[in-house]
Amino acid sequence: MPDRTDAGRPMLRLRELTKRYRGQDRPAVDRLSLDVAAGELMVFVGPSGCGKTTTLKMINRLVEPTSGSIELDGEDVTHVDPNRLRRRIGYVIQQTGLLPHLTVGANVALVPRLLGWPSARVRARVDEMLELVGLDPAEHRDRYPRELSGGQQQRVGVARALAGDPPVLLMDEPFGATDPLTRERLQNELLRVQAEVRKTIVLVTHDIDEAIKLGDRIAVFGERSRLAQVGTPDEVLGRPADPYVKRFVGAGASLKRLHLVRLDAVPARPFPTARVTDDPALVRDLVVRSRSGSVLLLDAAERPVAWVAADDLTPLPADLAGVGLPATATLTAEATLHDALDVMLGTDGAGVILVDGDGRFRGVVGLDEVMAHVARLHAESRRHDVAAAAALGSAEGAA
Amino acid sequence: MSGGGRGRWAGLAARPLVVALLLGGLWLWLRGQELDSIERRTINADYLLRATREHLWLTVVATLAVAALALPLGVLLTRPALRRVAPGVLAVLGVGQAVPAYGVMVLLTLRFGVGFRVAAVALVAYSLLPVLRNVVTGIGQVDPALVEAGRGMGMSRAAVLWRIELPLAVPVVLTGLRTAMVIGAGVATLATFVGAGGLGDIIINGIKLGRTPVLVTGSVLCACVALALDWAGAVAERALSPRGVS
Repeated sequence: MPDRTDAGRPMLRLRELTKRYRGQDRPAVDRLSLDVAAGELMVFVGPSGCGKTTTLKMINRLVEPTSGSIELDGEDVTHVDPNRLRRRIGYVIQQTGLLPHLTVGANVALVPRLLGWPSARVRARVDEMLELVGLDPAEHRDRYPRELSGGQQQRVGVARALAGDPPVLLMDEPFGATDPLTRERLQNELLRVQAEVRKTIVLVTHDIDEAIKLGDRIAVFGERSRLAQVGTPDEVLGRPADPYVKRFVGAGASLKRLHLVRLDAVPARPFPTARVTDDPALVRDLVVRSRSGSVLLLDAAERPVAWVAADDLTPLPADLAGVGLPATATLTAEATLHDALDVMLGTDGAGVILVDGDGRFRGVVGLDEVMAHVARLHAESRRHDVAAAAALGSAEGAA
Repeated sequence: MSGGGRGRWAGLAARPLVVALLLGGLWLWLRGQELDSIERRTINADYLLRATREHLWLTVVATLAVAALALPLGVLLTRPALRRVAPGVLAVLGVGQAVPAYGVMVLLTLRFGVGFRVAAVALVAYSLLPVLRNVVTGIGQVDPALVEAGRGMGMSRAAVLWRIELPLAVPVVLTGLRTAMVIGAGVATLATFVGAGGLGDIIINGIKLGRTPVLVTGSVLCACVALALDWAGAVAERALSPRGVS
């Protein structure tokens, strides 16, 4: 995973943040300290009632902290005017919160208008934001929220939160109320938008899979906002800090980790290839000499066309057009090992063909390569466990 | 939705037609009657118009006063600080609602004498509670997520009230006002007992003198006033309700 943060400069600093509600003897959030770097997507994940939403709402002071401090871009905002503060922090909630009596355009324009932008700039910004979230401005600007689907409404919610160009975006279970298909689309959409705008985002979810998929870092909340672990998805999955995190991450952690490895992290193996236009007899010689007993046929633009085995070439055809098993299982280097495994299990299991952005052949990734990588991950985790146990042992010995 | 909209407009267009038919029918029927001198003293254009005007004026003034009182009061009762006392306040006012309007008028007369103002105050007292209740309900039914979204975007409490809560409460508030106004148009006939005029004068005359044409004229005019006000209320609802909300 590429490092998306710029030099780790914290955009948000939470220090000893505490919230006590009257009539409750235990604080809802207890002395929580956390930095979120500029441009980072930080996910708060944890079971309901762990204080993750309360913590989120203390950042824009919808919930006033009892004690502790919040710094935004180096400025202490614990006691500034909350209305002004909130115009600098985008806010997306699960129920979208779109005002039903305002058009989509007017909803998106709310914060820019509060900021006092001139109307021409507001209009341009509305269209820009709608385009950013994949909604045609001309078609959607003048419609009312209830005329849109749930997924479209949530996109408008994101567009509205970004409209005032805030450095920070808070998202409270933004995709919680959508169906699984829409949720996945919206998640991908968010990653795409984030790659474009690079905001500092704090997103709350109770879904560990969502956290793994979206987060640059994940903060796993335990009871009363105890931060059980803060780390990259790979760290949380591969080296859970304690049994609580391990339980919360749940079964299938190894499988989930495959989501985090891009195909280009695994060495693709070269594979004998031939052109569709080549002489069938020469290709047959190649097949016979190859280790796997097959050759990949490429077209003039080096795009994979078909797998050819010896059987396909007896009797020898006049030319190679239409010969062999169509090579459909192709992936680009941006795909994950999880995608690769999925494709392998869905086809004959021989392997997936790695292609570049133009569809040109780059290599083949087989089950062996994936397994080798998994073995490497395991070895790494074990080394860490051993190191941790050793550290623990020496600490106990000292005590 | 467009079909429903058309139906709503059709309903609005039908109302004035009914009023016109009622008035036309009344006129035709009166033309066929032999009116004696006593009846003619009441059933003449000048007198009928004056009584109708008084009646309308009383109803409209009372309704506007109710709106002017119920809206700020309802807003206050839905603010976080007072939200918890709202049910208590409504219950106390509910006691006033149970007292008959006629009783209120008579009691007020004992203290303030007779006239338009006493009648108006009685009408206001009578219809304040249902309207207030609708204002509280109307603002209360606004989705809390919308209020939170507004606050989260940096809108002040006042901005949230003016731009989110009140616009979304408009349909419920106007329905309450319209109902109160129509009931008020009926109750306003009692104004005759405190010397405030109106169509009640004609109806009571008809009863006291045993003159059916007078009684019928007063009653039909009263019904027409109520229908016309209801129609005006429906038009206002249609015009003022926010778009984008079903």
